[in-house]
Amino acid sequence: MRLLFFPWTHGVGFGYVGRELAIAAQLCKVGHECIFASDTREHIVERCGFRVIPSHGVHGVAVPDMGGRRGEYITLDNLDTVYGIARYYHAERVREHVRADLEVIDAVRPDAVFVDMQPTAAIAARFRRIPVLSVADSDFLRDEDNAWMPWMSREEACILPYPSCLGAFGEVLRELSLPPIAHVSDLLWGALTLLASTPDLERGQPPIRERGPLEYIGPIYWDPPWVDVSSQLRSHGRAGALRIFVTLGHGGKVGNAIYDAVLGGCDRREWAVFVSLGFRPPEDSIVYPSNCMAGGFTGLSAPLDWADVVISHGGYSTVLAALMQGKPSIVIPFMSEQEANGILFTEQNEAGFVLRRMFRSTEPGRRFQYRLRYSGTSTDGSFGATEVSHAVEEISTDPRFTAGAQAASKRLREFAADRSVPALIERALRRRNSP
Amino acid sequence: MNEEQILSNLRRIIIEAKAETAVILPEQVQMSTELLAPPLAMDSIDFVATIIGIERVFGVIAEDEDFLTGSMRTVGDVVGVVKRILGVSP
Repeated sequence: MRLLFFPWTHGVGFGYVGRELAIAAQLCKVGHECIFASDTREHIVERCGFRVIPSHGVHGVAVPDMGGRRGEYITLDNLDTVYGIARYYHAERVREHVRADLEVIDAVRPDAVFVDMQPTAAIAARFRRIPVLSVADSDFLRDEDNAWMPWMSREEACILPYPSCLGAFGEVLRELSLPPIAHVSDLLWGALTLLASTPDLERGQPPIRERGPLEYIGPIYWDPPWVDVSSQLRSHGRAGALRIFVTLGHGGKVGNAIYDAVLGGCDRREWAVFVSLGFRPPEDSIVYPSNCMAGGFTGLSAPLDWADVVISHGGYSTVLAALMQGKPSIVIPFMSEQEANGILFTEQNEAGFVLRRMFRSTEPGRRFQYRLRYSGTSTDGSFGATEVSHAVEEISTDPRFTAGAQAASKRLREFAADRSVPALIERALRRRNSP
Repeated sequence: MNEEQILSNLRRIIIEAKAETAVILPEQVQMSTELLAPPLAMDSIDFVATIIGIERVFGVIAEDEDFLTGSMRTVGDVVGVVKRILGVSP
């Protein structure tokens, strides 16, 4: 089979690309051909040996530079708002992107189109009657207006003023004589929708309204095959030291002050720190304490295997990977979805906690404020090294957190043991093609 | 549309964008007014509201690259971007 992958290219995380790379690698192993419609700035997809057919520039590069948005907390309440960032509330924009995606589809002639939150490729594939395969976080598929900020009411969560994209998608679907949608998330359901989670992890949340074949596949994340930090990590830190893995995303979103506070807070002789900097530009100067070793884009598996404790930004893949490996996490979110991941997955499993929580402010002139776990309310969300030191002390001395993470790991590993993504995909496409 | 008309429209857009958190008077929005400093003190959400307002009022589709926050310091800079999008000669 030939599969064409469209990762989401308007987001701030590597997870969308990484997850498709992980699935594509599994499919290649069993003889399928995988082609991508976009690559990262660093050409990670091409470096993995996959052919890339850029979608005529309309999706730009996957994992864009954050530019002026660095350091700010991003409030996304639901998928419709996320699509607003891509300006899909303009039918003209949707039309332009569908047209470009159709050109790529026509050039590749795939047996199936694989999307990770990419709606226009899903529309284009439907128009050509090519099966859509979809991989998603659970919140991509939820209807609730506050699905990405579930700790707030829908009224409180509505902060970014983007218009709804439903009308523009509906207009283009009508023009293409495709069935209408009731919610933008309907676009992400296809011949098979893969949910990178488990029913156990989703407990306590509203049920997902099913709109097609859905399979839970457990956490899925990607490690660059050309990077191996295992041997360096084996000799890092004195015997008996608490090993802390710091990973704050791919590096484009977090300002230096945060790195200084986090690494400064971990600066103790009896602790050893490994920080993964992602694609952070080399010109960025970060002060590394003597107990800290830094790596670039290292992937998650080796550092998680080494670590006793994780400090992360709360990205979906990172949070679930930490649970899968049974490591307790301190989550410092930089956007609402990350905060939700920390609450719903880390805290609910008693596998750690969220260090900084956002809430709607009642103070005049402020939209929201933050509550720090140890030092109280912060108007701008900044925190110092002491806040981080307290967090590491708490998570490393309270055995509940490690026990919670290990229990979650056992459940996740059992769940993942009998799941083969290529087999699920092959079965779904056979089912679709059978008379 | 000339520069004065663009500024006049932009003034209304910015006042509306800021309405949730501050009362801004029309005379406080001049070409030289700084975006990040008081009285405007615009945050990223104000910028989003302003860009959406620009799209609505001027009938354009904005590109993120047009409005990179780091590249715009004053209201006059925003007027310049709108002029460029609309093809108004400098």
